[in-house]
Amino acid sequence: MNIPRGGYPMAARFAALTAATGTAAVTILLPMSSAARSMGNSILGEILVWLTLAATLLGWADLILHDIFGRLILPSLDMHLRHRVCVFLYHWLTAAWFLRAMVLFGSTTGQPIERFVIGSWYVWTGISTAILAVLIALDDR
Amino acid sequence: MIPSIISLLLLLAGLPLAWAGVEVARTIGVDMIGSLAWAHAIVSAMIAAWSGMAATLGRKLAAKKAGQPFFWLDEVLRDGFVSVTIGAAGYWLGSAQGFTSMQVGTGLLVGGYAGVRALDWAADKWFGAKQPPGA
Repeated sequence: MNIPRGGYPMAARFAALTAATGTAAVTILLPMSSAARSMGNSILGEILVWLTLAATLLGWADLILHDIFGRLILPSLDMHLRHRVCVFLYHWLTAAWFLRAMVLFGSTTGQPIERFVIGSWYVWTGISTAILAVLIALDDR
Repeated sequence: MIPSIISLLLLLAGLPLAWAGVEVARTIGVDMIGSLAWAHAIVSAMIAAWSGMAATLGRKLAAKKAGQPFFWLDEVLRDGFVSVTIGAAGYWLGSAQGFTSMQVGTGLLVGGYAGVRALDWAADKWFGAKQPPGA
């Protein structure tokens, strides 16, 4: 995707993808975890988690291929469209964090203090990922 | 470069802050947190605002491709106002109808974005406002 290689941008995307992938994986693999219980049994929640996992896989493929090996996914794809897809990817991850926080704050599972702390972490990570999405959108390359 | 460092530091600071939050939470009474309805409402507003921001980013990218100027402050303020207004109405409606948090949140995400795009379409259609190609 149309983003700079290496350096702090790569490290920031690495951190954002690690957080999103880890939380999605925990939600799927550990049904009794706080992350899974807070999502409830809603079908929308299932869709959210799987879409997040798909987005992170695309992000990882881009990070490994572009930043490490210097190659592009589908080189024939229009660069402008490539950039928009990349921005959308991180936009989706941000929205997923906020949705997670909203569901958690609105649920009644567990102690309120537990929900408050975990939900605050979701919001924090969401805001960090939002900054990253804006930076990628502003990138002139 | 500096904004990227800030973004990275925010992400990395999340985990120790969450751990510190757990430690601090042990000393805070549950009553101080209450039902977290205020947190629910704040995050709802953030979802609506972020969906509006997505529309702003889309227009920014389209303007960049078309080589047109883009006025960040005007665009962000307008989209933020529209999406948060729609979000507030959606939150009230969803809560009144007994929708789950996930349903309301998804509705806010779609409604905030669609509302801004609908405003673009209406401005272009009825008032002849110039929109960047592809926006």
